Amino acid sequence: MDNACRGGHEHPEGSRPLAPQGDPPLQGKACEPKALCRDDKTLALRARDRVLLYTRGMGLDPLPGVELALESLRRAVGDEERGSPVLDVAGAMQALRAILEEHGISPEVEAPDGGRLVSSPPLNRSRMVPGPDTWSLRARIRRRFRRDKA
Amino acid sequence: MADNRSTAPGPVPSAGRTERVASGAASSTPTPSGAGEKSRPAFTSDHPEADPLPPERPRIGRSKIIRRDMIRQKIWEKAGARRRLLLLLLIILPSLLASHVMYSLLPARTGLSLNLISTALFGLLFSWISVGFWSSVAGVMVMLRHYDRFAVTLGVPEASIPEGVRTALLFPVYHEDARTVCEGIRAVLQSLRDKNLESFFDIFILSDSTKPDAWVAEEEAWYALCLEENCFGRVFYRRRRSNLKRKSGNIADFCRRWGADYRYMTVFDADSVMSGETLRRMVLAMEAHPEIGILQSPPKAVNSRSLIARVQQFANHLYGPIFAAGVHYWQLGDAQYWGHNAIIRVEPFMRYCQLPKLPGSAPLGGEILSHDFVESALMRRAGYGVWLAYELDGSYEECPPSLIDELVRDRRWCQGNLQHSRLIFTRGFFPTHRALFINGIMSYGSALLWFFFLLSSSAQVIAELFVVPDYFPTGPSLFPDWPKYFPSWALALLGGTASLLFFPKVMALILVTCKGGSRAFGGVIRMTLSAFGEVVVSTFLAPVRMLFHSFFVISTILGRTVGWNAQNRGDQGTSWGDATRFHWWGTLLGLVWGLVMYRLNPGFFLWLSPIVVGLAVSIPLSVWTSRVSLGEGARALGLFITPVDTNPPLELQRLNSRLAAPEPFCPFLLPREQGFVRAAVIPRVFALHSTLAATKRRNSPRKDQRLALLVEKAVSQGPDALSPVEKTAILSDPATLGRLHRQVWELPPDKAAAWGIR
Repeated sequence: MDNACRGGHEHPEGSRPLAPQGDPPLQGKACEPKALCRDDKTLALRARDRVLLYTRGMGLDPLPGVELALESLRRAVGDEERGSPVLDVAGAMQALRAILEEHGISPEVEAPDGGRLVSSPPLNRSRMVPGPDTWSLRARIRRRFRRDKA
Repeated sequence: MADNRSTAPGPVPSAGRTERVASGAASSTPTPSGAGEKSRPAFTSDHPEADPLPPERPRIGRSKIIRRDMIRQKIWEKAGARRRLLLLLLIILPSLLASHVMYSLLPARTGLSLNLISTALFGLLFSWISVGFWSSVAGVMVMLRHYDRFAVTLGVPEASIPEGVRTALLFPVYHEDARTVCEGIRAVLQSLRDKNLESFFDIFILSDSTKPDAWVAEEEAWYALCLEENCFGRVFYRRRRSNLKRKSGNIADFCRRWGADYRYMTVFDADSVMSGETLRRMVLAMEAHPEIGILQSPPKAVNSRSLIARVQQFANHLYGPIFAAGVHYWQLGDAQYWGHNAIIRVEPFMRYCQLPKLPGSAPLGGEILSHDFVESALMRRAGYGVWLAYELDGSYEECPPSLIDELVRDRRWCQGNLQHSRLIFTRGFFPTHRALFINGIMSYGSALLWFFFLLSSSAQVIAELFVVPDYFPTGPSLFPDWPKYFPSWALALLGGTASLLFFPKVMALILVTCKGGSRAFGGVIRMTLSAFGEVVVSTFLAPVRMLFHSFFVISTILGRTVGWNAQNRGDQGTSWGDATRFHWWGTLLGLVWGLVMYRLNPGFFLWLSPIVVGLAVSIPLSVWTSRVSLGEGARALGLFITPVDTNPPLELQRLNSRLAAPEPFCPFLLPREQGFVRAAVIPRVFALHSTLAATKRRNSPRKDQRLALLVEKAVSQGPDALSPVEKTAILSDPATLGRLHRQVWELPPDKAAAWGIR
C-alpha cells in the first residue's frame, strides 16, 4: 500500500524502499508509469499519511478504513476540477470528507440503542432556595426590637 | 422518589416504616441489658423478640408514630446532653487546675500581665487538647464494650434495598485527573455489580471544570468508561457552564435538575472510593431510620506513597477508629457532615440545606467555603439527625501527598472555618452545632494561640534576664522574699500535658494489640516502631503547621482571600525550589529565634528546641517527606503498614491495577492534558465532543463573526495563540469546532505540526 506505484519508479539515491515487495499496484492514473518529481512525491506521501491517520483516528475497522483512504487518494488525483493532478493533503482530505458523506458516516456519536448520545438523563426540575436571613446576630436583635416595638 | 414529608419541620416516617411499626416491632423505651445478653438497640425499630409492647393493630394513627419517633429521638438527645455535660466538666475542671498550677510556676518578677497572658493561653490550649484526649478515652470505652446502642448501622435488619429506592452517587470534579476519577468510579461500579446492587444506584460526574482541556478530558474518560463497562444510562456526566458557589453549588445544581428522582445521594470526593456493601448498609440504615438526614462514614486513608502520606495513613488507621468512636459518643445525632463519603436524604436537603450567601466580601463574607459543617447544622435545625457511622468500613480517601499540598488545603479550610464565626448566632441552630463551629475555628485558632504562648514564654525568659529580682516587695525587712520554685509541680504539669497528647496513642496501640489486630499493622514490634516514627515526624512537622495555620488565621482576619484551587493528588514530590519559596521565612524565624534563645537561656532553648529545630529544617523536611522513595522505603522496612496494605480490599486492588496498566496506544501524539487540541484534531474526540455539546441555540451574527475570527487565528497561529476563554468559546459551538477541525486537517505539514499532525 505504502508504495504501490513502485513499478517503474526510481528510488531517490540513498533512500530506502517505501514498501515491502509484492504489493499490488494501484489502478488508475496515479499508477501510470510516469516518474513523479521529488516534491510531488513528498506531497503524495503526506496526503497518504494524512488520510490514513484520519481514518485511523475515526476508529473505523481496519479494512474499511484503509479502503476509504485509498478511495479518497484516487478521487483526489482524478479530480479534474481542481486543475492539478498532484496529490496534496488538502485535496485528499476534501475527497475523504466527500466520501464519508456519501457513505453516510456521520461525525456524530450514537448511543448504544441507536439514538443520539447524551451524557445526562432527562431533567426533573425542582427548587432549592436558601431560607431567610437568620444568621446575623445584629439582624436578629433588630427584628426582636421591631417586634417588641410593634 | 423522595420521601413524602409534611411541610412542618421534623421527621415523618415513610410508608414502609409505618408498616413495620404497625406490625408490632417497635419499642419506645430502651430495654436494659441483662447479664450476658445484648440489649435491643434503642435506636432501631424492628426486633419483635425483644419488644415489650403488645403487637400493634394496623389502624394505629400517624400521630402515635410521630410521637414514637420523637420519643426515640429524645432518648439520644437526652443521652447526648448528659454526655456533653460530662465532657464539659472533664475539660473545664482539669484545665482550671492546670492553669492554676501553671500560674504558680511562673516567676513573679516577669510581671502580672505577662503571667496572666501566658496562663490564659495555656489554659485554652490545655482545654483544647483535652477534647481529643477525652474523645479517645470515650472511644476506647465504646470499643471495649463491643456494643453501642446508638450505633446506627448495627441492628438494621439484613434485607435487600426496597424497590423504588434510588440513590445517586455524586462525584464533583474540578480540574481533577479524569482518568483517575473514572477508575475510582469503575471500582465502585464493579463493587456494586458484585453485590447485584447496580440497579439501585446511578452515578453522576458533576464537573465544574473551567479549563477547556479538562472539559474534553473528562468527556473522553466518561465515554471510555461507559464503553468498556457498558454503563450508558447508569453513569452520567454533566458539566456546569458556571461554577457558582463551587462544590456546594455543584451539588445544589444536581438537586435542582435531578434531585427529585432520588431518595438519597452519596457525595464522593474525586479520590474517594466506597464499597458496594458499605453503600448498601448505609441505604438500609437510612431506610430504617427516617429521622436521619445525613449519615457520615469515616473514610480510611489509602494509596499513600510519599512518606508524609504514609505516616498520615498509618495514624488514620491506628488512631482513627478510636477517635471516631469517641466523637460519636459525644455527638450522637448532632454529628457533622465531612463533605464526602456520606449519604444524604435528598428531600430535606433540598428543602432546608441551601446555603445562604453571607453579606460582605470575602474572606469572611460571600460564598461559604466549608459548606459541609453548615449543611449539617441546617439539617439538624430542620429536625433530622446527622450521625457518624463510625463502625462502618469500606470507605476510603487519599491523603495529600506533600506538606505543601496539605497546607494549601488547610488554607482553604481555615478560611471556611473562620467564616463559620458569622453563623454561630444563626437562629435555630442547636447548641452542639454552635459549639462545633467554635471547635472548627479552634482547629486553626489553636495554632495561633500556641504561637502566642511560645512567644509569651520567650518574652518571659527575656524579661527574667533583664528584670532585677525584688527580694523585698513589701518594703525593708529582715527576711527577704526568696523566689520559690516547684520542680515537682512543673514536672507533674509537663507529665499531664504529655499524657493528654500521647496517652491516646498508647491506648490505641494497646487496644489493637489486645484485639489481635497488630498483624495487619506489620506485627506488634513494627507497629510500635511505626507509632514512634509517627510521633517523631509529627513532632517536627507540628511547628511548621503551627506557623502556617497562624499565618492563615491572621491573613484571613486581615481580609486576604484564597481561591479554590484544585489539589495536587499526584505523587510528584516537592522540589527544592518550591520548598524554599514556601518555607524560607519559617526557616529564618526558627534560626533567629533559636539562636536568640540559645544565647540568652540555654536551658529554655532545650525546651524550645523541638519548635525551632522543626522550623529551621522545614525546607528539607518538606522535600524529604514528599518523596515517594522514602515512603516506599519505609514500607519495605515494614514501617507504617496499614490493614489496606496487608489485606487490600477488592475495590482498591482493582483500582490500583487499572491505574498501573498502560493506556491503550493512540497514533496521535497528543497527551490527554491537551484536551482542546485533541477535540480539534482527533476525529473520535471531535465527534464525541460535538455530539455532547450539541445545542439547538442559534448564534447571533455577531457571535458567528467572532467565532470565525477565532478559527482564523487558531489556524494561522496555532492552538497556543488562543486563550482558555477563546478555546472554551470554540468548544461550546460544535459548528465552529467543526470548521476548525476541517481546516486543521487540510493544513500543510509545517502548520499542522503545531496541532500534532504529521
